[in-house]
Amino acid sequence: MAVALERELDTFRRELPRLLQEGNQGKFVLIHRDQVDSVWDSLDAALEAGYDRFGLEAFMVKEITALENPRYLSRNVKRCP
Amino acid sequence: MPLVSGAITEHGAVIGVQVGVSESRRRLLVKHGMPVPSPVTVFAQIDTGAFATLFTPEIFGRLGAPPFRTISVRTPSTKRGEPCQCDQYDVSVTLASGDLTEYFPSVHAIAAEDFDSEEEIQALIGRDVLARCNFFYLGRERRFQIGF
Repeated sequence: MAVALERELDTFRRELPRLLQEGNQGKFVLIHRDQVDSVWDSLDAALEAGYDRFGLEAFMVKEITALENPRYLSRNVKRCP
Repeated sequence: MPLVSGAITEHGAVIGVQVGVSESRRRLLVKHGMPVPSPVTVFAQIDTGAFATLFTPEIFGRLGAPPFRTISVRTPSTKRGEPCQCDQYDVSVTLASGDLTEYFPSVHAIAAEDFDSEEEIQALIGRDVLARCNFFYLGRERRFQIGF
């Protein structure tokens, strides 16, 4: 379902080992296309930086973590076939 | 504290909401001389079991809002150990009832396809928005109140 940010996700997966090694566990990375732009302490700070730097272009914010714990929703997000 | 009161229906506690572009995106659109999409009005079910607010992908499409994040999510239909990745969007939400409105300039909502077009409900208000309100479920009176 997350096709729109596929390029940014690929960048994240490629750069994650380095980001973790640099001690950024728990912080939030700002990614634009194939590049890591910056790392921030909070989601909101990274989001605002994304608007400031990239305006109306697509960008991605992602938590830097070795293991992403899934969140729970009480409703399905995709239709059942 | 302004209070919105409503009846508990077969869908639970339902409230009218307007979804628009986030305040940050609105400012950028104005800055660049581009039109700001009109907010979309839907009926939303208040869901304390949802960590985030949900809207259909069509709503985000009408706003022209791109996702800014993906998150891993478990739902009633996902298998154990196999969560799905969901797009997350930055939008504004206005809760409305009569003359009372409350505007939330930035809500990180999830796209969910699991609403039928014939359903009255086209959205869920989750704990991300409820954290900014006081919600009272008056079961015996079959009413609810939400205070801003």
